[in-house]
Amino acid sequence: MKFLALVKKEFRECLPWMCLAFIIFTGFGALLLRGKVLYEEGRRKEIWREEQVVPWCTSPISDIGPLLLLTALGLGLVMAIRQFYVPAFDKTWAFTLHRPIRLITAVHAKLFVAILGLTLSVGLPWTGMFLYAAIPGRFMDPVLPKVFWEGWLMVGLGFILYLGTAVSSLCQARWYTTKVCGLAFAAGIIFLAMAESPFPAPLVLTAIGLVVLGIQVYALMQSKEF
Amino acid sequence: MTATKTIQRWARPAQILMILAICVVLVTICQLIVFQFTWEYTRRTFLESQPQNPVVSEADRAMKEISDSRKEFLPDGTVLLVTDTMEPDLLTRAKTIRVADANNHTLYEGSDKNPYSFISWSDEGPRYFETATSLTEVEGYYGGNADFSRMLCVRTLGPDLRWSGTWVYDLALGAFVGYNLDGRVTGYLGAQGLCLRKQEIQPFEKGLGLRRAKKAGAVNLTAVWISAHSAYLIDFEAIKVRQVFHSDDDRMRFVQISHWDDPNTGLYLPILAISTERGRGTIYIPDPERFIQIHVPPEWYWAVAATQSGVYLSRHRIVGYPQSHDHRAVSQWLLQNRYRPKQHISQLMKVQDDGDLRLISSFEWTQPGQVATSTVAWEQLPRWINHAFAVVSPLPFKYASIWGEDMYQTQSSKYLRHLVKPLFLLEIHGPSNLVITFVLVSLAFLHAWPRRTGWGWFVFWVILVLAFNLAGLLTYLAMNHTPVIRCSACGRRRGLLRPDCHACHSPLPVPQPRPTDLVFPAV
Amino acid sequence: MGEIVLQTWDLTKYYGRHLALDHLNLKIPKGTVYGLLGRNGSGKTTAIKLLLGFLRPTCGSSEVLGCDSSDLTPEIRGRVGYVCEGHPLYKWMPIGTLENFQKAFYPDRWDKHLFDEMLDYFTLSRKQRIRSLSNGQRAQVSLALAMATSPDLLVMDDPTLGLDVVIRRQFLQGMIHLIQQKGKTVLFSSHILSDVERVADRVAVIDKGVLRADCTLEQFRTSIRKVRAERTGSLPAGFDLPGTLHCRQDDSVTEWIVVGTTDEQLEQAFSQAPVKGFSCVAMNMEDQFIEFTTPSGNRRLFEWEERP
Repeated sequence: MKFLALVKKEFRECLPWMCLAFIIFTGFGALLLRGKVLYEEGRRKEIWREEQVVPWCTSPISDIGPLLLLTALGLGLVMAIRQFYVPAFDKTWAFTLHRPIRLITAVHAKLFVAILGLTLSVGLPWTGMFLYAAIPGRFMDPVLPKVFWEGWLMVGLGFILYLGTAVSSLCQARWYTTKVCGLAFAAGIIFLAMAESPFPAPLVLTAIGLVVLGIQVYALMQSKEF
Repeated sequence: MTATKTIQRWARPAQILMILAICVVLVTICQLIVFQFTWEYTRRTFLESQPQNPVVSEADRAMKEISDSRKEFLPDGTVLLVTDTMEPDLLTRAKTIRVADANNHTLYEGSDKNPYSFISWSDEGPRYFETATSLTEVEGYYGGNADFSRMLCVRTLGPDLRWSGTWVYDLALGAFVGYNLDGRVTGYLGAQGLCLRKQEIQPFEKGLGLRRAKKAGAVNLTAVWISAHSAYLIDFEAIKVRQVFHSDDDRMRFVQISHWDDPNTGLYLPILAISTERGRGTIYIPDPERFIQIHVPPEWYWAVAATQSGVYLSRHRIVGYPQSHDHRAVSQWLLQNRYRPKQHISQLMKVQDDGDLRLISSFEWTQPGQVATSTVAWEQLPRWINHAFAVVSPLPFKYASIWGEDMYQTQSSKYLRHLVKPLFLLEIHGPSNLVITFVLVSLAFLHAWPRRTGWGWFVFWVILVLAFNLAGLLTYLAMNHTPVIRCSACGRRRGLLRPDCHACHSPLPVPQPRPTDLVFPAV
Repeated sequence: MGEIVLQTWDLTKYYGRHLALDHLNLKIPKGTVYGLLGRNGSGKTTAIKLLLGFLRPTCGSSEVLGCDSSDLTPEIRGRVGYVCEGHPLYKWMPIGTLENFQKAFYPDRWDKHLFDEMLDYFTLSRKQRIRSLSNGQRAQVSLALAMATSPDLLVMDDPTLGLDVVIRRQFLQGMIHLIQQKGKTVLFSSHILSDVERVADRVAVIDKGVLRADCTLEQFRTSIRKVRAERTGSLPAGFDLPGTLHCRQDDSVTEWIVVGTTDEQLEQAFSQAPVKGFSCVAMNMEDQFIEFTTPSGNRRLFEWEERP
């Protein structure tokens, strides 16, 4: 019940941003997808004049990729700021933490809401779009199953940025010293994961980022002075 | 509780790893930026002081003309020298050529449509990807657009020249998976040909290259799948696979394709030529199908042409060029011989049905050595600058540079190449690096001594600075910015993280009570 | 006075090189109302945050209800009510939602009747959002939330800061209500001496991080006195009263602020001084506090010349 109360509070605080991310991603994503479907309908009727071998052929839903990544990253960043930076700014940490709970419960509630938010706002719409695109015959090129998992990994990168921002928000060092290290590390992980490395390299990098940053979030909350 | 203790135990190492990675990257970036600016500055000053147009002799000029021209063979073995020239007219820019004999006497000068029927040789044709790394990179995120992974696709057309289906290469299966326009799987195309079940697939060996060899008159193309030990012709029209080469112990060197979709096939036949590192060659002519096994020593580079009157082979080599084709050996040889003249040999041969090669004609010429210009001299200059800025690099860079250079040469992902480039660009000079390391370790030691809370961490930080130099020192300072105060007993600086002074072991001073204090505890 | 609810041992806190709290030794027994006094930056909030585990001490330790402050268990936190300085609450929450949020953590201890009564008394509506409340109203909500959890120990950091006299009186009424319940302990810090005087049993004064007073209110009030004497001549060199904090003089009158000096000591001292007579001037608690915490030699405008 205590955990639920914390989750409800965190969820309510992040709800406007989740809704915004959902609207942006679903709205623009649906437009892009629909546009692609209409384009392909026209293409089916045309005589083929291009090269037959396409070594770097994009997936039919590749237009969604950058939108998915940016939305996940943006939502992760904003949620972390809302959950970890704003309480320091308006001095509500003490009010939140002075209650009959363990500190780790409060951390769990925040992380749970972050994962839930990314899943509901970005992950589930992505799943819907993929299922729509993967219907046989929707596009001339097949939509491969691995693209689905790549999309979810992008959602995971959004969580990486969330953790990096949380580490930076919780860090009590000056901004020109190590305060930005969490963000910088997360940015490095995201860059390397997107750097054309074949799978499972992005997966391994994401796992490393999760472990390194996740441990630090817990440890910083335990050692932080409020 | 156990989870909490585990987290606390691993939190500091995780933080060290994170900050160290960032510091190493930051230091390297700063080094490269300074290095680049300094390089540009020193290059400009040096260029201004060198003569721009060195004078060469008449004989050298003539030798250079012969060397720069294309050597074309006629079927009777005559060698002609062809030079491409351009009209100075800016509007038309029509291409003209000059044809000369072996002694560089002009025979023809005019448009490209010349009266000579040079033999048209095979070449490597359109390449779709070239290394195994390229093929696996297709599978990764596309960094340029922050996009999903790509697919290697071969589109197939129907008789009406409209899209009828797609073959997608599956890296895990090692075969092409066919899809029709309804999105249904139509079959699997592996090394053994078409099959309808996944279990029956015989995968292709890991691909190193894919070339186009579309048959004349066919709607769909034929592609050549090249791996380290095999080559396959994949006919997407007939949905068939034909293995044209395989060797268990010899590796592929190059594959050439010629005249497959040439509408004027009266003169030339389609041909596929495969060469291995040990000099074995296979010539494949599909119609009528025949294989000719030849042997050309590995120091020769060769091409073939199949006409109605027979199969010709032209080969070329530079005397002394490394046989191994290893990129390091080749770079070394080119560097050492840049200013020396080089002897070239080009030969025209006839390929017999049994694979023997009969020499028809041979032509030798000398390529003059490169004249040292101001730009060449510049390259030798800034090594001391490189050393000066590499001196704060981590020591492990020195040992990682060997791996880095290999990866830079073989990795085709431009992002990853840029990441490993600093490993071998920064030339770490051992003694200078050690001196700077000693200075930095001393600084870290002086900083850490009054702040130490235990010998374990103290030794760890010293070793970290020793190994990672400036990046290590920055990491140490970032994680140990604890304040120090003067001990009231001995006057030395002491850290606040420990309960007592490290020198005299006295605790923090207790405030002196005043006579006017009103301290009367309740209990 | 038996059980100790709050105790510190040489509690010290450095912020960088700045010493905020210096070897604080404090014992607060159960059932007392403890007023923590001090000037701005003296270390009151630091002490409270260290006690509640929101800061890590540089050295020393503290316990709350028998539990180490740096590792307070959820059960102990459930028995301690805390009103923060400035009353920070979630601005977006209506009071009703905030009540439900708080209630979820204290299912057994939540006193709904008390909360309703307090809201009614303060004329607050559950539908009002925190961001629409004034400072005083927010303070009321804060106090109601803390008191409705039926805490055994109520810790308040400058709870009446910025409140008008009416709201402050209401706040104190609420505190008194709590105090009247047996076994409750209150620790609060304040700048408003009249409030402290009204409710506190004991006071502790922290000056530049050092505990300078820890006594009953009565002891504090009676120990600090202003003594005025009319001089007939110059006072002999080195003349001073025992327990002198400050001494000021003008042309004919000298004033001493003394701590813990008895009447007999005054008699004895003045018997050898060229004075017509001496008298003890009444001081309110605010004056006593100012004199107690003002360092000697402190230059003041428009005041008497400080006698070194």
